[in-house]
Amino acid sequence: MFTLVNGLTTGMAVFLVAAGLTLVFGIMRILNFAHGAFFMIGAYVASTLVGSAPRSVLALVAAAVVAALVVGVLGIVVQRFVLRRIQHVDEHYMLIATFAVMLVCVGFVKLIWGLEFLSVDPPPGIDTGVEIFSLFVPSFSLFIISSGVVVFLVLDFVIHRAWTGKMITAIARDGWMAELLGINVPAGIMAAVGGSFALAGLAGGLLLPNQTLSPALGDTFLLLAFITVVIGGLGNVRGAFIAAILLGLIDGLNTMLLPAYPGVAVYVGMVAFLLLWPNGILGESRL
Amino acid sequence: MRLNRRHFLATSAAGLGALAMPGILRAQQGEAVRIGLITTLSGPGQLYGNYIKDGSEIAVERLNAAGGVNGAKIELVVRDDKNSPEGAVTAFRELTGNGIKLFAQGTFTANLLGTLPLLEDADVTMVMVGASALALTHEAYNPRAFRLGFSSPMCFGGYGNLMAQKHPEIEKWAMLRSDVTALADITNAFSNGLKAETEKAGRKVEVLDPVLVPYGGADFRNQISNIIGSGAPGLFNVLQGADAISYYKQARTFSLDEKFKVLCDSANEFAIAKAMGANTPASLWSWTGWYPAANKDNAVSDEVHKAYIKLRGDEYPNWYIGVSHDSILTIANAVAKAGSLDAAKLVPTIETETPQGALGKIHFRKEDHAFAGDLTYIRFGRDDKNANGWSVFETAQLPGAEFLERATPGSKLN
Repeated sequence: MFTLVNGLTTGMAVFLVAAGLTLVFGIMRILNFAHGAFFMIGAYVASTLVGSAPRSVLALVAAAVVAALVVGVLGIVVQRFVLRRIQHVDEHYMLIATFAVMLVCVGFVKLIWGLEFLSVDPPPGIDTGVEIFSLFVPSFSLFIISSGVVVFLVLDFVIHRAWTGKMITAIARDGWMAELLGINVPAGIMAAVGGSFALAGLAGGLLLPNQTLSPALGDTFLLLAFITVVIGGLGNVRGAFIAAILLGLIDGLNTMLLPAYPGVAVYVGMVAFLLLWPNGILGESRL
Repeated sequence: MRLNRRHFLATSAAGLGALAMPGILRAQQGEAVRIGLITTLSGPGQLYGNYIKDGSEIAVERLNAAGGVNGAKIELVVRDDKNSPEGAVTAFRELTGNGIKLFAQGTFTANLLGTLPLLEDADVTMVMVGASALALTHEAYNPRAFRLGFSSPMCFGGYGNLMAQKHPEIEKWAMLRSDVTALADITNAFSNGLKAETEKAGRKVEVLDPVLVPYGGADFRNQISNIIGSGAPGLFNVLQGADAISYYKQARTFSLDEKFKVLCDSANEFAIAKAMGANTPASLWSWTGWYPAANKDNAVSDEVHKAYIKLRGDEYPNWYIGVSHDSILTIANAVAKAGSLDAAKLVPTIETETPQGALGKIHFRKEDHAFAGDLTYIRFGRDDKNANGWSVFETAQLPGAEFLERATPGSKLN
């Protein structure tokens, strides 16, 4: 049972990071290799705001929101100067360009925050554990699971129900036609890309007490987030949500059943999913 | 002036003599003794490379302030290996191309394995800074290189021995490590040291197989739950860097302190306490390559400590500072004693000399050039009375030579 809860925790943590990654692919068809680096910047910005010991859960969430705004603005800058220029070129150039952005981000973090490890504690209220039906569950795990579900519900509502989401979906599917109908396409794209980067910053802030801050933090979730996006279906937020939960559960079962091979089941699972659903569980989507 | 035959012969002999003089003697006339330092100054290993650079620069500053080497100043020429063997080889070729014969390089084994085969052709003498891999003094042994680092059997065998002495009441130990093959040496050495000392005392100890976690992982809670469920009162952790700190953070929720009687960390020493502050585990042992407060009556250690505080304002230097300082000191001392930059004279000098360094007397085992200095262990933990939120409670030292693995230069240790 603990494995199940922890699998959900891992899955939701990965979804928080993968949400922005799949959004930017959905809107621009760019696999953003620098996504992990922006997650890292979000974490550093939030840590600067709350210090090493956040006073409350609210303070942590507020710092995460500010980190989201800062990273969102950075995302708009990156979109304006990099992503927009590589949108229609070969994928190899996209990977190289976003990899270069990642290196710049890491260098930026080293300059501002240095190389030493930094740590932020969970705030009071989510720093212990709770007993649920005689099962010990860390309260921070419940916080991560709740955060993942809330982010998914808000994102799903915005994309599928709100006018903004419908406008962005229209731009993603046929930008030329959307422009013909009077939609400000460049502004729509900028808003969507800014939003997807902001999600990376938000994830960095929310997961802050879970990880250690270092310039290598971006790598921690990047690979799992990419696997989630691929399994869920490129650009499909609902698919990413389901895939993240499945990956978390597979990883948890891996620890229980194959403890001598930690992390292997995730890759075996990815191969199996791709053989069964080559376009992802819910298929590719343009949002 | 008219040049006669006698004058010509005398002048020629003096000129030829000057040319034939060892480099160091000419250096006395104003030329600096150049030491090449190749370390990682970019990428993931940069943190350790920066420590090595700081420690080396402190050594050069101290040595020059004391008059240099036989009157010649020491010049440190630093290059980044970009954390790759190719980067290390490029830096090495550039420096040897500029005439540098003395090298300190570290700390990553792969990068050293790139340059070791080049030492002979370039007539270079090298001290390997902080490197621990067995290969460097066994299958990849090079007679021109000295390892000023601690092998796993040495420091973690000693660690197991120390824990068996300090905690004879603990009959069962659990271990946690990253799924990196190289780290298996550490858990094996700790287990062997623990068992050897326990059996010597006529007792028995059970050491459980390590619980493995993915390297660079994000979540360790399942593994934490497993080790707590093992029922062992002793725990040895072999996660490194950010992984280790994330693990201690996540383990806090599970009251790790209360579940284990003794917590041992392999080698993260103060990185944990500096990052976690008042949330550092209540009591944690760690191996360290150098801890100034443990080296009482060692003036060199105190001076290096003071110089580092002056340089970085940090009272708790990483152990690489001491090791890198002593690496440069080893080279400088050998040059001073041998009066030459030639490896043929420097190697036997380093083999026999025992200069006083920050770590204590620096001496290498002659057969395989493995460092045979003292081992240091520290116990630190949460301390509300200290402004840092943590303190060092206890230190212990063991003679490293007693725990060195068998010398098999040129072949793999079985």
